[in-house]
Amino acid sequence: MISSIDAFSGKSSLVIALGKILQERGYKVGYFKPFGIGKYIGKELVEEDVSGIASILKVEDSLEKICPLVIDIPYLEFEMNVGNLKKRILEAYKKVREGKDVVLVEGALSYEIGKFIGLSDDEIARELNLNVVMVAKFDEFVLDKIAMAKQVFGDRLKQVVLNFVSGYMERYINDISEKLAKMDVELAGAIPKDPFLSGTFLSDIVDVLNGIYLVKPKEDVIIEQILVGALTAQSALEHFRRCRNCAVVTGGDRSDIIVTALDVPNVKCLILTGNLEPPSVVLGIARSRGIPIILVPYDTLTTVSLVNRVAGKGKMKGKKVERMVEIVKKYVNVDELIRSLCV
Amino acid sequence: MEKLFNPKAIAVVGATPKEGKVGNILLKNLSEFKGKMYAVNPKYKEVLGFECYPSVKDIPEVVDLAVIAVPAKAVPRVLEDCGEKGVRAVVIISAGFREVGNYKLEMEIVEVCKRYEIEMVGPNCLGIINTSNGLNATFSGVKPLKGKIALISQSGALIVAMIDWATVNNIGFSKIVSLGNKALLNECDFIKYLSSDDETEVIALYVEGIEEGRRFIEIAEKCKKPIVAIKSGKTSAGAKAVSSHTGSLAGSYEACRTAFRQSGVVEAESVEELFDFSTVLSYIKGFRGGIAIVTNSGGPAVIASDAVEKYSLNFASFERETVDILRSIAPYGNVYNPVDVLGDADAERFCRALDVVSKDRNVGLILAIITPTATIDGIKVAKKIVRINKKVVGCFMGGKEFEGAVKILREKGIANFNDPIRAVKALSSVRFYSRRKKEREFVRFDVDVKKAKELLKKGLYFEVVKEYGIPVPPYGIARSAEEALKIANKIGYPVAMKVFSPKIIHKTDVGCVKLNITRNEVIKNFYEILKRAEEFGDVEGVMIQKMMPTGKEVIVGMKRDSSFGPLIMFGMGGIYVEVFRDVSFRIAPISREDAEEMIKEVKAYRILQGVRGEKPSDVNAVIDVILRVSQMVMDLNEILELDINPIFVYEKGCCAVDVKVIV
Repeated sequence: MISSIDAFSGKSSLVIALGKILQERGYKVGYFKPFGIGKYIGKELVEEDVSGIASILKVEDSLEKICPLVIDIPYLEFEMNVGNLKKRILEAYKKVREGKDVVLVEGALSYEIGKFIGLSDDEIARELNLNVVMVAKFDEFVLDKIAMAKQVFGDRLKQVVLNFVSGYMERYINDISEKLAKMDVELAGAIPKDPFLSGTFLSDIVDVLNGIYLVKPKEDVIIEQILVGALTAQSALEHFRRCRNCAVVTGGDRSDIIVTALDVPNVKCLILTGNLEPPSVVLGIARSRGIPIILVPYDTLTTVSLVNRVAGKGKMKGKKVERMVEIVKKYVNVDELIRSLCV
Repeated sequence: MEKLFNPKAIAVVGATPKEGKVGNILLKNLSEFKGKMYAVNPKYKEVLGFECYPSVKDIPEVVDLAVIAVPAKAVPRVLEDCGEKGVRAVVIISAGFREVGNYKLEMEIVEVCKRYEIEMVGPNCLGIINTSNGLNATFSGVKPLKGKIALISQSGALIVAMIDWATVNNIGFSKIVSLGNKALLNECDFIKYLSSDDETEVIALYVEGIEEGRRFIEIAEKCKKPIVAIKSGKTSAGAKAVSSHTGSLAGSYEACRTAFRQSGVVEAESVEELFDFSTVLSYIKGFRGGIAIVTNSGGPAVIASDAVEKYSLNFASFERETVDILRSIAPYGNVYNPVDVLGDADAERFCRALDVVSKDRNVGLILAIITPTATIDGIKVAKKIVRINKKVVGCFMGGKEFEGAVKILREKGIANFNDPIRAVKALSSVRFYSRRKKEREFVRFDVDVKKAKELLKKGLYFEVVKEYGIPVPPYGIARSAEEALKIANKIGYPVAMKVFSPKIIHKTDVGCVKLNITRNEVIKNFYEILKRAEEFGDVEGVMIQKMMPTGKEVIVGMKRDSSFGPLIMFGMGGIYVEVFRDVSFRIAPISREDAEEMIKEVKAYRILQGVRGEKPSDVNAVIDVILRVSQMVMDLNEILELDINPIFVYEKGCCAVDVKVIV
C-alpha cells in the first residue's frame, strides 16, 4: 500500500511510477483504491485519479473493481449513515488480485481519512495484509508526522519516501535518514521538487477558464507559472525571460506584450482576457510559432484566480509520467521499495 | 539590386484596363519608363496599348523586373513563372500575407524567391521609384520630383504623403522604396545598395522595427552616405500600435536609438525633421570652422544664437579684416557674429556682407537669415547665395514675398527654412554626422571562455564575473550555520550575508540581506535569513561575503535586445537610480573610447570626479569593468540580462558587490 501523510503529496505519482517500473520489469501489475471521493465529469461519477491511473497503467479491471467505493454525497453525511463496507472492499480486492503479480493499493487522501468508519489506510492495510510505504511532503515537521504515522501503522510501515525536497534542505536528508532508522523506518528516497511535475496541463487551464482557442496547441503543454503582462513590453520582457514554461495573461488589445511574449521561448501559451481578439497579424505569428492563444471572457484578476484553482494539482499524464518514472528511478531505491512492499 | 532599379524590361503582372485598379495605375505610372514594358494577364491581348501575355513565361524577350499585383494566393505561381523565365527582381504589391496573419503564404513566396535567387520587394507594399529613368513602379497618385534624397519607408501611406508635401517644397528624390512586409529585402539591403548609388546623396528612412539589428549597425557604419531615420513605436502606446500594425516588435527604443548613435545614423523626431536634416545633409556632409549668421533682422538672429548654443554648435570668431570691412559696410550694425546689417539693408549691402563673411577662414558655414523688409530684394540675395563659394543654409523667413527666392535656392539644392531654430537644428545633424566614428578598436582580455560557460551553466554567476577579471569580494555559500561560520572566519569580519535563491529577486525588500555582521552574529543571522526566505521556497543557502568599504556606487548592466544584441548600460547606483534615470547605453562590443563616453555622458560623472575637495574615483577601473562586461556578454550568448549593482568605486580600483543574471 502506498499511503501519505498529507493530501496532494505525490502519492498517485509514485503509484504510477512504480507501476510503470514494475511493468518494465515484466510484472503483471494491478491497481486498487479502496475508496475515493467522487466527482462528476460530464454525466458520470468518477474518482478522477483512479480513472487516470488505470488508463496510464493500462489495467484491465473495471473501474468499479479498482475503486469499489466512490462517495457521491458530502463526505460527512456519508460517514454518518454508512454501514459495514469492508466486505465490499475485500471482495473487490480479491478480484483485482486475480492473475496479478503485484497490486498497488493507493491510500485515501491522507492516511487518517476513513478512520471514523473503519476504512483508514491502517485498517485497510491490516484487513488486506499489506506493507505500507508512506509518501511525505517534506517540511519542518516531517519527522513528527512520520513518528505519528509509525505509531498508527506499526510494523507494516517499513519505508518512507520524502517528496518536494528543495535547496539547502537537502543537507538534512542524511540526518533524517538516521533518525528514521532509529524508529525502524527506512528512507527509501528523497525526491526533489520538480516544477515540471507540479505544472498544470494547458487543457486543464482552458477547462477552468471556459476559454476558447484562437490558436490551437500542437500538444497539451505543461504550464509551470502564470505571469501577468502589464506595464510596457520592455519591462514585461525581463519577467518573461525569468520564467519557466509560463502562460502569460494579458489583454487582447496589448499587441506589444503579445508579440514580445511570442518571442520568448519560455512562454508556452498566451491567455487573452476580456474577450478581446488581437489583430490577425498577431494571431498569424502565434500560429507560425505554434504557440497556443486562449481567449477568455474574464478580467485579469478573475482569470489568474481561476487558474490558481487548478495550479499545483496537475494530473499525472503525458510527458509528466515519463519524467516521474525517470525521477523515481534516480532518487528512490526502487529495489528496496519493491522488496519491502511485496511480502 | 541593379535589376530592381535599372531594369531594361519590365512586366506588370495583373495589368488591367479597368480604371482605378492597382494593375491599371501601375501601367500608367510606368508610362514614362525608358525601357521595354509588357503587360501580363490571361484575360487580355492588349492593355493600355501594351502587348499583354497570359503569363510571364509567354513574353518572348528577356524580362528584368516583374511588378506583381495579383491576388495573394496567385503570387506563388507567378513567382514560379518568373523564376523559370529568369526574372531576378520582383516587386510584390499584392497584400494578403503576414499582415493578415497568413504567414504560411509569405514563407512560401520567400522560399520560391530563394530557390530562383529572386530579389523581392514587399509584399504588401506601394512599390519602388527611380526618378532617373522614369521607373515608377508604384500605385501612388502623386509623382515625385527628381532629387538627391533616397527614401526608404516601412509605411507606403507615408511615402505618398511625403512625395506630395516634398513637391510643394521643391524637394526631390533619387530613389523611393516602400518596404512592405520586408519578407526578403529590408532596409539593410537598400542602404547597402544606395551607399554607392551615384544619384543619392542622403538616405531618409522610416522604420517601425528593425529585425536585423546587428546587420543594420554594420551596414550603417560602412554606408558612404548620411542616413537620417525616424523610428516609431518608441513609447508603450507606439509599440502597441506597431505590433498591431505589422505584427513586428517595436523592440527596445533605447537599443535602436543607441544603434543609430553608434553607427552614425542621424535620428529625426518628426517627418519635418526627416526632410530638414536630409535636405541639408544632401549637400553639406560636414564643415570646418564655425557658423556665421548674416541677417537683416535682430530678433531672428537672437533666436538663432540661442539655438546655436542649445545644440552645442560653435560660432565662428571673425578675422580682424572681416570685422573691419563689415564695419565699413554697416557702421551701425553688429559686425561680430551674428552679423546684423540692419533692417534698412538692401540686397547689395546684404550681399556684400555675405561675400566678406564667406572669405573669412574661420567660417565653415553661413546661415543667411532674411526677413521681407521693404528694402530687400530676396531674389537678388538668393542669386548671390547660390554663387557663394561656401556652404550656405537659407532662412528666408516669410511666405509669399520670398516664393521666388526660395525657388532659386531649392533649384540649386540649397536648404531653406522659415524658422531659424529648425535651420540650426538641421546644422546640428551635420555636426553629428561629421563626428561619427569611423574606426573602432576592441580590446580583448584573456579569459577561459569554456570555463566561464561551465560556471554559467552551474548558476555560479559571481564566479563567471570573476573569471572575466571583474573584482568581486571574497565569498562562500553556506548551507548550514557551521558552514556559515567557517566561511566567515576564513574571509574575515565584518561580513555581509544574503539569501541565495533563484526565486528571490529583491533580496533586500524581504529582509534577506544582512550587512556588517560580526562573528557573534553569524549564526543568528543565518537562521533569520532562512526563516524569512522560507515562504518563497527554493532556498539554496546563504551567501557570506566580505563586507567591502563603501565607495561611489555605480551600476553596469546589460539587456539583450532580440534585434541589436547586448545593450550595455552604465549609471550611478543607489536607490534613486530609477527616479533620475541618469544612465547611458552602448551596444556591445564597445571600444575603450565608447566606454569612456558612456561614463562621461551621465550627469553624475561629476560625482566620480570628486565634488568639493573629494579625491577623484578610479574611472579607469570602471572603464575596465564595462569593457570586460562587453566581452563577457559577447562571449556568453546565454546571458539574457545582467545587472552588476552596486559596484563600489574607490580612489584606486573597484569591486562588484552584487551580481544578477538571467539566462
